Amino acid sequence: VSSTAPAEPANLIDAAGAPHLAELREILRRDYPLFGDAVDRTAASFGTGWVDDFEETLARVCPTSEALAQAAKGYTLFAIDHLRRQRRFERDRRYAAKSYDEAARQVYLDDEYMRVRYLPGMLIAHFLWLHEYQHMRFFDFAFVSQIQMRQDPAVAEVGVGSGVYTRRVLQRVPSARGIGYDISPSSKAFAEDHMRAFGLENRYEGVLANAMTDPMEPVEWLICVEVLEHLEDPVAWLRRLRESLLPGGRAFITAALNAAQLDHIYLYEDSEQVIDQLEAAGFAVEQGFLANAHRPSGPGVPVPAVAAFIAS
Amino acid sequence: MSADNVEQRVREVIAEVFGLEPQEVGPKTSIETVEAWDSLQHLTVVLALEEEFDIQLDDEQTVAAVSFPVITEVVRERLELLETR
Repeated sequence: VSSTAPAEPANLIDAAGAPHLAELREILRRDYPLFGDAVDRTAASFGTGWVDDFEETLARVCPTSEALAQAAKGYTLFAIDHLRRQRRFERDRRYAAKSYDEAARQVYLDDEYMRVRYLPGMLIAHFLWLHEYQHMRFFDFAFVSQIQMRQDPAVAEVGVGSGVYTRRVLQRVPSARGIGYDISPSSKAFAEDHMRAFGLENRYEGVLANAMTDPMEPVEWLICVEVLEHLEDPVAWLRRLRESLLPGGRAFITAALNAAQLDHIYLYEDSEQVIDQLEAAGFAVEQGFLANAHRPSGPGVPVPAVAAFIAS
Repeated sequence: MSADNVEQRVREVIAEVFGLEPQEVGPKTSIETVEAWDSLQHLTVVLALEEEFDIQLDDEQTVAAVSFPVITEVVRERLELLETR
């Protein structure tokens, strides 16, 4: 056993040091045994930094037992829907045929679905799913570290979702200001509450907008996390993003690969497809990071993954 | 469809997914007692049951049905619901 081996999960999470995470673990174990080992499994992979990071998020966004229980339920329903679609995808090798407008009606504009399942589910998945958390760490050290070197940086996130990425920038860069665009009123409200919970509301503005058609203020720092797979024509979207990036600026752009979800309509099978589209839209790719969700369940079985790029 | 018949068919589906003999599947068979029963294999069980009985479990049932007794109960509920329509 090396000295860097992770500590036993039981020692990483205790009710005194991480009370919200300990309670989430207890709720999952007690009420949703299908996901009962998720907290310990992820803690064992990432260690105390992950525990502190997730505990801080839960303490701010889900401070009460009731909020934690609701978030846990939302996560399990979000995750089981994904797993069900993923098994079908493994068989059919395609996403269910759907237009962007259909996905918007079913998901982004359905306030109950967004509030109960999608937004809490996605936020928790960013910590419990190995590949999602690996991407947040890549974001922190490769992208936020560049923003930290600038004076009074302006950051825009297109498709802000739960707000977790922009929140991490505003937390770590005290002079930064953020703007979050989303087509979903539920996302706009959730992200604003998220910033408020961290005391960042004075440096954040939420905007209800369709970034394909509504005007966007050009900025030096752009964030676009797992939006491309939701679109019928990602290249057109990327061209528009490129036009919104000021000279010398950088964009952090990610895409989900082989990941069947209710609102995923454009299938990326590998990261090269994303690179090709970024370059076709005029971006120059500077860094990339690819992480799979887990090992394949069998030879040739596709595995959900996320590909992230920093591009100028 | 008789209750015994439903139970036996559920037993056979679970046995096949986890490589067990049908008689090994009983009241204590669950995610707690079958080592290979993880979230991915759980969906294999659910999809196989849906095909076997031509039913669709909702997400809450899918999350909750993690033992042989609960799965049998949920399948019976779905079949009864179909019969009353």
